[in-house]
Amino acid sequence: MGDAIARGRTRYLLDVQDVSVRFRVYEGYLKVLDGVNFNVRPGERVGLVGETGCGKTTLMKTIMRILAPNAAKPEGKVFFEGSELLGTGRGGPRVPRKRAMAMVFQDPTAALNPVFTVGSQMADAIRAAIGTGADRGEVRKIAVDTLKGVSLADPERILNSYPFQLSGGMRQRVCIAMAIAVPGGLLIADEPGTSLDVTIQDQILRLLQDIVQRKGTSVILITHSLGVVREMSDRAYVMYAGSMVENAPSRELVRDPLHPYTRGLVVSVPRLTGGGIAVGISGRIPNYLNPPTGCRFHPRCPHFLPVCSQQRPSFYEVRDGHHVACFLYGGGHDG
Amino acid sequence: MTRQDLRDSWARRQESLRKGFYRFSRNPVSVVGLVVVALVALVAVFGPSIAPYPQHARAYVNFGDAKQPPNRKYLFGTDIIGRDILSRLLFAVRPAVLTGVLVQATVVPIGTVLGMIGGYFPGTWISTLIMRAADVFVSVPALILALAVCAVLQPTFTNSMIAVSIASWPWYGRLVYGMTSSLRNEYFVKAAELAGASKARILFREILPNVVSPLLTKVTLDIPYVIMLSASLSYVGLGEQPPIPSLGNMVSDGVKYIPDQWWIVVAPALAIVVIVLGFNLLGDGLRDMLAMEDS
Amino acid sequence: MPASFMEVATTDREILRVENLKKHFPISKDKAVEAVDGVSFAMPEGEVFGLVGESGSGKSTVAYTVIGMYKATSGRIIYRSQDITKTYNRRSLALKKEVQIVFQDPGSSLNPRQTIGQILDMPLSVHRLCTGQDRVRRIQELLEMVELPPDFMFKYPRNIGGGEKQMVSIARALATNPSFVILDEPTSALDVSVQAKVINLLIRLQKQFGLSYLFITHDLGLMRNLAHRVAIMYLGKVCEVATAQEFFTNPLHPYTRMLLSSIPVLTEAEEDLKPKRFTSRGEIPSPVNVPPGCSFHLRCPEASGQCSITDPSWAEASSGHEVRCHLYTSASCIQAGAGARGAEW
Repeated sequence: MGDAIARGRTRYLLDVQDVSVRFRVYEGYLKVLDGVNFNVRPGERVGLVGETGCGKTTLMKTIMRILAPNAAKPEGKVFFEGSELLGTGRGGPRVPRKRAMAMVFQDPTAALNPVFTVGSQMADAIRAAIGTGADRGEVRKIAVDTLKGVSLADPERILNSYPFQLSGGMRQRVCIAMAIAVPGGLLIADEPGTSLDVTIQDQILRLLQDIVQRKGTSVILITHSLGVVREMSDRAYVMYAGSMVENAPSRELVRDPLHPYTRGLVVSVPRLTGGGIAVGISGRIPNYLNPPTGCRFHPRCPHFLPVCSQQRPSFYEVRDGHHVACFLYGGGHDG
Repeated sequence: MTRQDLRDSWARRQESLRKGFYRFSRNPVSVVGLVVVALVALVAVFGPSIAPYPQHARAYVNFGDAKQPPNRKYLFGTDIIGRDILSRLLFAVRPAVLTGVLVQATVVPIGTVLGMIGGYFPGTWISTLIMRAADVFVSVPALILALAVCAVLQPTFTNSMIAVSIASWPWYGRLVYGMTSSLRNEYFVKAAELAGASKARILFREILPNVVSPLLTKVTLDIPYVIMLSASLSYVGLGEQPPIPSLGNMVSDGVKYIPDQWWIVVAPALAIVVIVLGFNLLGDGLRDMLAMEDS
Repeated sequence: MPASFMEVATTDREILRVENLKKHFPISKDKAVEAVDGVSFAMPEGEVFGLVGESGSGKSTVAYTVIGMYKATSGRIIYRSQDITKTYNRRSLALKKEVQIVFQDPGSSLNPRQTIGQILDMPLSVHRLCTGQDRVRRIQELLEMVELPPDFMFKYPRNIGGGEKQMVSIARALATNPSFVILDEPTSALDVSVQAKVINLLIRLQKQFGLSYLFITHDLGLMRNLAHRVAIMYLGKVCEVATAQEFFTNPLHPYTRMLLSSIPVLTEAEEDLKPKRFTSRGEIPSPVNVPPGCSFHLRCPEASGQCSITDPSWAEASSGHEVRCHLYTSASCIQAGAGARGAEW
């Protein structure tokens, strides 16, 4: 668990400050990200909860510098290990970035090239991180060690296998292995295990927990499951329509959600103890061409106040470590 | 449908056309293709009417003006018997474009229907028959096949079109066969089948609309291929017979006189290049536009 | 007001009965994928029957065989006392009107080249229900029924969200006024708030029209709040069947317990309800190589010698609660033993 938090360190591994991103389309601009504030400390597991269309993938792509060509230049700053990423020219220094930040995608089958063996794909990932000059023996050894590190038995056989010969859970482990092959600072896991069965997903999430503890890697865990967030992350953000609406330690977030959107989400999860199904949240996600003024959630909010459509609430610290962007809790421009 | 409904649906159609054109125009080269094709179409329709010397496209001889390089009187020069190249060219574009369009108009529906039947009913005798026939026709090079057909029939313009059609249908058959085979397993097709829709309904209402986009691109990109094929046939003397000009026979006439009277071959050859390039650029643009729509 | 769902189905007429259904997919002369290997259950009219399982369990195959997409290898499917064990090609049009299915993937369930109006028109046109202006009205009625605005008629699937696509699939399934709807993981691909809307809609429609649902999902939380009775499947066979209440408060089969213990939950109350955690072991075997004896024995923490040799038979733990496991087949284990053993873990 985050020693970093216990020690109260404020040095962030990743610090996203007020990032906004727009995309140019026929009808105008899609203002997808709208002043996102987000940070990750070393050795921390941060959950990012958001539904389809909230912009979480765009945010990750912005951090990883892999936005689509029709994206206008992002505003704001992204600090990673102290250096600012957005201001640097496109491409920037490649090797240090790749070693330090890696992403594991949702669908392990799609992330692996079916016509190459696992071994050759891992070799590519390792070489990209440590430099193409490394010799084959060294690369192989790193690959074997990493596969052992993700609890895969018989790593030699797996390195010689093709992806289709492995099960979904094994493929996901291989993807994680490729991402952590060289010790880095940050692992971004996009809905890991969502396409897998619950029992296998459980194993994968525990593996990520183990990696964090062993290697001190930080993890951004993107998920739409509040249950996963509660059990598998230290701290979590809730994202809606391009900005963060709430941030708290995970258990507290789920036990005592403050933002009306978070409340809507928590209530919508069917409980094992029964009690029926909540009505969900009325309305649809906003149109990014003409997003709602002020707080982007206001058209769907059961606690709407007039100020909500006029101003954007800032991220206001209600309790220790628990931030909400909502006028119900004060968060005005005077914070 | 009220009048308001009709106005609304017309407005929606206009909007989607405008959006479509926006996507298309993202690539300026495609717009060039569109412009070229539009010009070629105009020439095909109005060419004979604006030709300065229409009589040169028929039996005409004027040795006095023969072998003249491009000048003020004859913009592209004259050939060895004194006929104006420009006028003959304007007359020759029409049958070329006509071949392209008519052949596609015959081959595409037939190929599509046969391909859909082949793809939707795999394993049946009719499907096997269709696809093996397509295999046979595809394995013979198109030009040879067309030559063979023309050799059997009289060497006329119509017969050369028939020959090119026979050589072209299997490509559509196989493309549509492939698409139908994969579409067959989509959930929306299953939903229609399970709801009780007839086979005909499924083929024409569920599968066909999904086949149209890639088909449209292929059709546009194939028109120049067909034109080239028919030009090749008339180059060897099958197709329009002299004195009627066609791009192929004009090139074959002119080949004998390069490099001295270069203009006799360059003019029709350049025309072929322009037409082919125009359709190719247009086809590429269409494909990119339709790809953008899906993403 | 959240929709509550605890009333047990009241009518006695049986709408569906599946007897020893098997579906094997041959992959070579002597090997086959035994996707469904002897499944039996019965549903009274008006019930929501849940089928739960992981990948390879065969739950979707059961659905597709019941709807007639697959040809059953053996066994019987009986709809309202009529044997319908044949593929959809051979089924009557009237039957297709009665029995409908909603698929999992919203993306490919709707024809991308058709408008919503055309998609909803299809079943009406196939079964020749209403004509002309009436049909337009009926389509608008269907859209209203699934709480979608009437102008959706002119939209294309690519312009509407995943949840809305599923609503359209549901509207399409209900267009012919069916009595029995099979729902194959209809909300698995949706966000949780959208899922809540869709499920509420399904509950409302079920009550309004007295529909019977065969509901398939891997989401146990959802099942708890939606189904009257639940059956859990593993590698082609059913392991346990019980009312939703019983299933979650007193799970007996080791696989059921393993599954329940691996779900991430939100509240302390749910944590307490879960069987004590034991880390799930191993990979799910492929349905091509089904382990001998009880197919779960390789992963089962309670496996004994018998488990690798003979397939367990059914035992009734309490009224309506049946389990297929060697732990419970000897008479002394039932009733007194079952509950106590449950607490040991």
